[in-house]
Amino acid sequence: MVGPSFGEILAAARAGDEQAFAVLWRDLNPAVLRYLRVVSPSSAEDVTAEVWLEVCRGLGRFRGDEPGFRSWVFTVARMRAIDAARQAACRPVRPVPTELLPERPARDDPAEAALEAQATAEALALIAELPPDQAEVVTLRVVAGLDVAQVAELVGRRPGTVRVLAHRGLRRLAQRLAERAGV
Amino acid sequence: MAPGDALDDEMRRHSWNSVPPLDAETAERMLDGALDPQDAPPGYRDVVWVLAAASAPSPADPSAEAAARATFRSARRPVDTPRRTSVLSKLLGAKVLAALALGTASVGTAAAAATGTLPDPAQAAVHRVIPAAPSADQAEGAGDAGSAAKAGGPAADAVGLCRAYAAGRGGEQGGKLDATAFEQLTEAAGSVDIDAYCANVTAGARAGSAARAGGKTDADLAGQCRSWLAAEEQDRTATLGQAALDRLTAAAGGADSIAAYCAALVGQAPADQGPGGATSTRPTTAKAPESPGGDAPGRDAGPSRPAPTPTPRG
Repeated sequence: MVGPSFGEILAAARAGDEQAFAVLWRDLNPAVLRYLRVVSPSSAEDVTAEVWLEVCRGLGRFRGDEPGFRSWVFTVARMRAIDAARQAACRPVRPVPTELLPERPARDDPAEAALEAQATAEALALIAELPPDQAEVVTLRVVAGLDVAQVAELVGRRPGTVRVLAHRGLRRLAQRLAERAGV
Repeated sequence: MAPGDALDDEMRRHSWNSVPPLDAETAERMLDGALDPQDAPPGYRDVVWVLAAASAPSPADPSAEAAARATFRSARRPVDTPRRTSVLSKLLGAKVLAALALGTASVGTAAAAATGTLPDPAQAAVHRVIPAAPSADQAEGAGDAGSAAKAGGPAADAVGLCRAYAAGRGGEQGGKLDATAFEQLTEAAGSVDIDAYCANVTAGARAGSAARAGGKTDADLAGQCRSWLAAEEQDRTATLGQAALDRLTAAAGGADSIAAYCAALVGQAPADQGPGGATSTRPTTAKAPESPGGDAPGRDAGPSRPAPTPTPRG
């Protein structure tokens, strides 16, 4: 999150200040890219570039606070991912490569593991294995940092449904991890 | 169907006997990233780690940031400044550079801009371009007419195009303007009338050659220009004399171009300066508008990268 200076920075970016835009980009791009790795794994980078192009173009029209801005950016990301999926519909679906899936998360030093980019990639691959609606909701809650109401509006579902989907996702994750751990 | 029923149903279908239950409140805390792995319920510690890894801070990615910044610049351009203006400023930038290398003429162009001789978009472009021009001049070490010719490539093109355009006047400009080169000319002139644009370009070039031709001619023409500019239109023949007026017309390339020509030639010299004032400004012209900090060569070295990435903000 950018924090209290968000309004100022957004205004500067809207006025064309590249440095201010870079602050917004640094804050949100990792989450956008990770969300797209889950929902659009075969074209995450390309779609991310499209998202930022659209955000740049629409910046002057956006009105709202920081949570609203995050919601808007992820709404754009979701729309572009859906477009990309439509365009790719005639091409074979690329399965999540199994070698990317974690054997098991690093148990002895979770903090270090969490900071590893590799650990992040593996965690995202694991989440991407969930049923698509669960994977999307878990990613929007955890990675994008949106609350239930924001996610519900974004995916066009009721808040209760969002909670159930996320809850199921967590249980399924626990099951997969338990299987991997050989329990 | 209530959420609880849905969960029970799913648990039956998958026979998740190995997965312990998870209460809704704990699930929300996990999703919010507010649950420490130590506090995770049995069987969910690994899940908390996976979620933490998925949302871990990301290292900086300078190349991706550079690409995003480029996207920002390109996406903002049509909103903030019309693209046409940037093409115009580029061409005028070259023009100003060439004029600067030629000596007095650059200040003439600046003066033309300052006195409002140039059409509005050109005026704005010149104001933007002029502060950047001197450093380029210094970097090239241009101070003589020889290097001026090199530096003047694009501007020379514009002058040539304008002359070709003028040569076809009354004939087939329609056909001429179809050619690629003339498309460039149209683009460079932008919303400005091509005739007006060309009048300025060619007047600038003539003023440049006049300045190069020698101090005497320069001073004479400059003096006549001052008189011409000072006199009311109907008094000009009387003030200057027909011979001087003819000479001025010839130098400017036509009676219509005298105003632009004279503004370019003498505009920079203060009115109270004596004869030779125009020539005396020449040496200072080459180095006067030095950029602060003396970082000019690095800054304007065209093909090299722009300034390094600014320091990140907290």
